[in-house]
Amino acid sequence: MHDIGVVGTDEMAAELADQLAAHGRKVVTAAGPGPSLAGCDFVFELSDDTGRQAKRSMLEALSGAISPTAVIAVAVDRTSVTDLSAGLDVANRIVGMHWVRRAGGGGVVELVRVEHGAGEPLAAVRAVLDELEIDTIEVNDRPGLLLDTLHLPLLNQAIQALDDGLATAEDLDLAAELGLGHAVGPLAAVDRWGLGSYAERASALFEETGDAWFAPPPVLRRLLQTARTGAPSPALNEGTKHEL
Amino acid sequence: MGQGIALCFAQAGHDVLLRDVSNERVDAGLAGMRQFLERGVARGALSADDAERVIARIKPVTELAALAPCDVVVEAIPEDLDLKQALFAALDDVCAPTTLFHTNTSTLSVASIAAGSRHPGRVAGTHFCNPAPLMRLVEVVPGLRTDPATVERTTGLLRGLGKTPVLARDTPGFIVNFLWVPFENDCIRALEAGRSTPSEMDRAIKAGLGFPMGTFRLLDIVGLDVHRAVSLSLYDQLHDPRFAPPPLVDRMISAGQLGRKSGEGFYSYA
Repeated sequence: MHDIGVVGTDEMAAELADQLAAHGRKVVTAAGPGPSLAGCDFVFELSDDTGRQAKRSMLEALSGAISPTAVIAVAVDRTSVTDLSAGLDVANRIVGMHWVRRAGGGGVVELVRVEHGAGEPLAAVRAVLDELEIDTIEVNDRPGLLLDTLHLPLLNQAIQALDDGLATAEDLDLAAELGLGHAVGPLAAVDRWGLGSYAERASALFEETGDAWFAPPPVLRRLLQTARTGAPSPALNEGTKHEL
Repeated sequence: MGQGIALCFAQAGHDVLLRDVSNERVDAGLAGMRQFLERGVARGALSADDAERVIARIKPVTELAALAPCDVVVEAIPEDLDLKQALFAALDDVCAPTTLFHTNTSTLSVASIAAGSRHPGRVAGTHFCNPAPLMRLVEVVPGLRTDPATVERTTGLLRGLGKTPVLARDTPGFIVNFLWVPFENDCIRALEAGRSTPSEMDRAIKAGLGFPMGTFRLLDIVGLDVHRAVSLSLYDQLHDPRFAPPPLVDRMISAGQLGRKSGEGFYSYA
């Protein structure tokens, strides 16, 4: 049995550490890279990646702290794991992880293959997550990975359809919920995401790819700009807002 | 779809005239409905007596003239504008001007279909989901010249059937197909590009996005030929590239991989 390191200070790190321990794994938790991780064969690195430089520095430090054969699974949300690890000693034994848990689904982890990377590190991480009964899917390292590239155009289309008066927000979401069996309709899903966070995510994806289907519809900005300070956050589907 | 819609009305206590072009076809329709009800009885969803009562309300006819006493006529004939317009034109001479004409079209313009009638104000789209007796959603679509009173009568009628009507504009795909078809095409494109496999993607879509079924599983159920037809019809009207069926769809159809009905699609059903 291998020692597994979990680096991170938030709820997700604590949850993962608990799950691993519950499955009989010996877990080493750490707030940051340090000698306690030296004996680990796997290290899950779960810090936020909003600051790319900070994340890269974290990886550099981790590189120095762990064994030369240890595999790193690093949480990514906005950055390319290939870019993050380029030139580092760990570049050939690192895998990206992106959690996607929307609207009633149990959740899935996108496991990101480093470009031109070998398959073994990913298979090893996948095996560990399989033990925890966490659903995973292997994806290539490209903007939006896989699920966001499929989901965002659908959500954007629904938002634009609302702005174009195709139907009321309630009817749009009801159509998706009853007609397609979606746990939550697209507008309510964006409301749960948070209009601001969603618009940022969509903008970033649009900027990286130039693909118009990712661009956030203008109505989002209008809603965010007209929201008064101190007023509750604007919602696309006011009808389901109380469930947020 | 016609069978399912007829059942919705019959189950709600309405007398139904089921019309098709020949005795063979209308008998086959009735048989299909009987089978559906029998499956319901086997599941314990309704009693055998109830099933008999429902079937007894349905009268098979072949002559259009037999529809003269109808308050509502619902057409679920093939997705062909000429055919639908011709049907409504013929029914103009049979039914009262106040009879509602409902079209179950999924991809054609309700306004265009309504133009077949001299009284377009009484025409509305009522797009049911499949299977109609089990799916509550109906998209109600007023055409350009549909009377507000028609919309009101229609939504009231549908609520009486236990349905949940939503109001959509008369644009290609209305709401459900408009959102879903391009998403399906995007999934097929991702597969074509080698980004993942059908089973991996289906699992991730369900677990990650909270959708009830994986896209490829659903496409196999609907049938790739049906998907292609719907997708192309929407693309022809919208000229939005996301609505174009990807090349893989044609290749699979040519290879006989239509989905469940041909024993093979994205998955095998041997």
